[in-house]
Amino acid sequence: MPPWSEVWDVLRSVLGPSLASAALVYGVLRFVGGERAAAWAAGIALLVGIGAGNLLREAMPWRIDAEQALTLQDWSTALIGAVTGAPGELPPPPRYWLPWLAVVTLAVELLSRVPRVPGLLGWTLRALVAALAGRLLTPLDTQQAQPGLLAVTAGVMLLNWLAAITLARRWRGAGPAIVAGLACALAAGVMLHAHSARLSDLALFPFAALMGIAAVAWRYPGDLGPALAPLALWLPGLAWAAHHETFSEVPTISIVLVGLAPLAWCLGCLPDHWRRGWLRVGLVGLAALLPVLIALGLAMRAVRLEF
Amino acid sequence: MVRALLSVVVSAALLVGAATAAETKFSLSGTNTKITFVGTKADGKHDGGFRNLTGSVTFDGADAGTLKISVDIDVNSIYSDNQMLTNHLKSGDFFNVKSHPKAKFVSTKVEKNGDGYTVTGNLTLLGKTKPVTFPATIDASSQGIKLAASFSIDRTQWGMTYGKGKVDNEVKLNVELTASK
Repeated sequence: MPPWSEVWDVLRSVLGPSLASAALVYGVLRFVGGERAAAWAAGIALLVGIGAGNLLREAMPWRIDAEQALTLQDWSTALIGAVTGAPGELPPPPRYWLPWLAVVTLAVELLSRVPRVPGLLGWTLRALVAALAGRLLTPLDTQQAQPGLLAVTAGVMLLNWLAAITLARRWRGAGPAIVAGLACALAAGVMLHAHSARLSDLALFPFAALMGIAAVAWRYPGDLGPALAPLALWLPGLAWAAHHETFSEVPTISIVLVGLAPLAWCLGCLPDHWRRGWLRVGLVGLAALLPVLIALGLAMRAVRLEF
Repeated sequence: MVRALLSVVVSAALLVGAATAAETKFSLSGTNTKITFVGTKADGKHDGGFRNLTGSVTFDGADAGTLKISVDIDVNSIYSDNQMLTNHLKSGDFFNVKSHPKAKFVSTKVEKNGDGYTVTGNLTLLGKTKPVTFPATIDASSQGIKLAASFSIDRTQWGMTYGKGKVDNEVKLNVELTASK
C-alpha cells in the first residue's frame, strides 16, 4: 500500500477538487435547467472537474513551452505540424492534445443533439473528430512505421463514442457515470504500474469528475452522454501515451485494453429488465468493466509496486 | 611572383600544421567519465547517473583555460538506486527517453578562478539548450586530464516540470573525468 502521505496528496490535490467542482457544476446547471439540461450540464461538469484537478497537479501543461505564454500562433503552428506530420523543432507530446480534443468532442456531441441537426451530419462530425484525434494522439513514429494503426485508432475511438452515448441514452441515472468513472480509476492503476504518475493523474481526473456527477445524478438523473463521449478519445489517447512514453514490464495487452475499455460499455445497454435489482446491476456493471479489470490484473501480475 | 605565392602557401600550411599538432585531444566514454546525480524530495533522496556517453576534451596541452569539452549522453543509460525509479525517470514524467534519447553538453569557456576553474557551456536536455556555469578542479597536461565538478541545476528550466512541490527542482550533478593517453 502507498504511504498515507501519498494517498492524502492524491485525495487533496486530485480527487477532491475534481469531484467537488464537477458535482457543483452539474448540480447547479441541472437544478436550474431541469432534466433537459442534464446532457450539457454533465459535459461541462466533466471538463470543469478535469480542469480543477489539473490546476493543482499540472499534469496537463497548457503551454507548449513552459517558459513562454501560450499564443494562438504557437498553438496553431503546433496543431498544423501535428496534423500534417511535419512537427516543428520542439513539438508538444501527443497527450498535449487530450484536453483540447475533449472540448471539441463535447462541442460536437452537444451540437449533434440539437434537434435540427441531421443524424448523418452529427455522425459525420463525430467521425471527423475521431480521425483528428487519431492523427494527434497516435505517436508520429508509430504512424510512420505502421500507417494502418492511425485508421484503427480512429475507428476504435468512433466505436467507443457510439458505445458511450448509447449507454447513457439507455441507462439514465448515475449508472453510466459510475461505470465510466470506475473504468478510468482502473486505467489509473494500469498507468501507475507502468511507472507514470502523470498518466495516472490523467486517468484520475475524469474518474473523480464522473463520481461527482454520479453523486448528483443519483438524485437528479438525465442523459449523461456528453460526459462520457470525451472518454471515447481520452482512454485510447492515454493508452498511446503509455505505450510511447513508459518503461515497465506491464504487458502491451494491458495498455491496449485501457484504450478499448469503452467498447465494453455496450453491455450496459442491455434491456431494462437485465438491470433490475442490485445484483443484476452489479453484474452488468462488472461485465462492462471487464477489459480494464483484466488490464489491471495483468499489470499487477507483471509489476509489483513498491512505495 | 609565382615563387612568392608558393612560399606564402607553404608557410601558411606549416603554421596550420603546427597549430593542429599542438592541440591535445582525449576521447571520453562511460569508462573514463562518470556523470552522477542526486535527486531529493521532502522525505529522502535518490542517487543515479548515466552509464553511456561519448565525447572529447581538447586543449593546447598546457593551459586548461583552453579546454573544449563536448559530451553526448545516452539518456537511456540512466540508472538509479531503484529499478522502478529508473523506469519512472525514463518515462514522459521526467526524461522522456523515447522522444529525447540524447543529452549534450558543449563548453564555451573555461576560466581560471582561484585554485580552480569556472566552466561555462550549453546543456541540452529534453530538446532544450540552456547555459550552465559551474566550478571545477582541473589537472591537465599533454599526458592526461582530470576534471571534477559538483553543481546543481534547476530541472524545470529544461521543461522537466512534473512533480513540482513533491520532488525538488534542484538536482545535484557530479562529474568525474579521468582521461589519459
